[in-house]
Amino acid sequence: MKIVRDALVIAWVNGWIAAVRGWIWVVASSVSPVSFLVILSIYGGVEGLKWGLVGGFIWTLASNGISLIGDATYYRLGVKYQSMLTAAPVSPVGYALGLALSSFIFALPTLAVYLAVMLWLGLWILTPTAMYALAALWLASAGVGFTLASFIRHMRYAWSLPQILTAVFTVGSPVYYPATLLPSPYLGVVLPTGAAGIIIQHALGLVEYGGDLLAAAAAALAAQSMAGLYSLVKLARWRQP
Amino acid sequence: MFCISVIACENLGRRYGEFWALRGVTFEVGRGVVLGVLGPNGAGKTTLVRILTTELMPSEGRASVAGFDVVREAEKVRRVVAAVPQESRPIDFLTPYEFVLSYLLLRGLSLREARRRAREALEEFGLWEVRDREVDTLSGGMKRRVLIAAVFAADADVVFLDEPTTGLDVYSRRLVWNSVTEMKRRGSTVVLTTHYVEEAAALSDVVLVLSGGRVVDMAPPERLVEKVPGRYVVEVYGADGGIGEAKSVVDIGGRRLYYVDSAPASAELTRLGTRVVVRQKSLEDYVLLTVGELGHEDS
Repeated sequence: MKIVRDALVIAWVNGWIAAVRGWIWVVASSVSPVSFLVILSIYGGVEGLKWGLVGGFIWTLASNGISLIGDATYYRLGVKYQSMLTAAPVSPVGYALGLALSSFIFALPTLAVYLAVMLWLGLWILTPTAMYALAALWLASAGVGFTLASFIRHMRYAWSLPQILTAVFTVGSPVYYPATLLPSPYLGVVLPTGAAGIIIQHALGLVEYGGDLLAAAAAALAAQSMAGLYSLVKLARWRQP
Repeated sequence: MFCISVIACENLGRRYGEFWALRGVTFEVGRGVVLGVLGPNGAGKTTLVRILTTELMPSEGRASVAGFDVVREAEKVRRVVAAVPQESRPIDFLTPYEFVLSYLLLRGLSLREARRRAREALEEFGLWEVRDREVDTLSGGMKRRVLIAAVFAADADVVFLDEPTTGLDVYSRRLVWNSVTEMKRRGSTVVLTTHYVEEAAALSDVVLVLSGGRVVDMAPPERLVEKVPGRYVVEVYGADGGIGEAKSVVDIGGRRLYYVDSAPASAELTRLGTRVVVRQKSLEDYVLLTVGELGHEDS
């Protein structure tokens, strides 16, 4: 319960207040996926628009975890806020989830627009399978983001690392394209974005995947979200060894 | 030893590669005591604080805070400590009220209690009038007071203030001093690291002097001052004819400090040079005599 409370307080501080005072963060979180969406729509018409929406939805959610690297590093190295919280009964898991939740708050307007357009195009993403994929993706990316952030030793790396990770997670995985374009579609489940992409693309009828691949994607995503949580709890450096 | 003391360290050490930032540190501090930690840059003050606040693992030895081992019982330690880390700043887009309130909520206080304490603390630190201004727009002194107000409001058993007054003006500094006195009055044990010797002398019940990661001495400030030879200090800058009966002499660049039993006559001062100050010995002289030579960025 304390974990949830800590996460909500951090999300209020770092998400809600930040978003209300600085709309630029809200815009910033939507710029890249919207750019892809526009290009895909221009070249692919309605079909391209659908792929752009699905890919953008996954990208935006994954970037919640990845972009917390900047905040977490700034709070640890820049203003020593994390040190202040280490010397207090604050849960590192709650803190990390709160940071990820903050990014989710920035992304909410974008996700709402995406959702509205998807529903208008007949893409019903609010299915249990798709929701599972999105939730697991969010957990996995938050775990990866916070764990990596805790190892960064200089502030300047906190700005560049998310860009590299975003490219790997969203272009290197079948997020904007079907997994069948890869040498083996099973390569698509290696990263959580790809595994979520496979499940959601199938659930929305963008592409038909076999049962084995879907099962592999679901299992991989479960393992990745558990691994993300594990690394967050065990490996992330609340305390310097 | 680990039951009666609020803070207890036994042969505590921390190594970074081959470099020992802290080594063989052993001391105890009781409840309601203000422990001033003095030492030059790189003496190990912040390393000690980071170990005691459970942020940093020790490489050797052991330490306990409020009876809890900082390694094995870190979660219990965190419930009873609060800290203002060195060079920390409040989050700039929050208001002082939001910062203090959120910190108290994160410590587990109810919303009602957190609001009450946030108001009290902001009033105490002269921040209530600016409670709704973003921290970004406040002066450096006010920003630092926001941090200390948050920790003050937490009412923790053990409070760590790591160089809390560095860069503060005389007014803000005294507000911080008041808070240390108030925390002590409430029964908190306060660990105060500082470069300002007069601050340590004014606030501390006990002073721990560190140098090169090791304990040089630990005693009440007046006891440390007693160890300084003579009664007076004659500081001479410029041409120097020397004082015959000095018990000890310290050279700092072009400045020379003579430790003497009696203040020299004015004729002698005139002979010494153009800029001469005669004063009573203080804790600063103890630091100059014991760690002064090492005090030049020894890490």
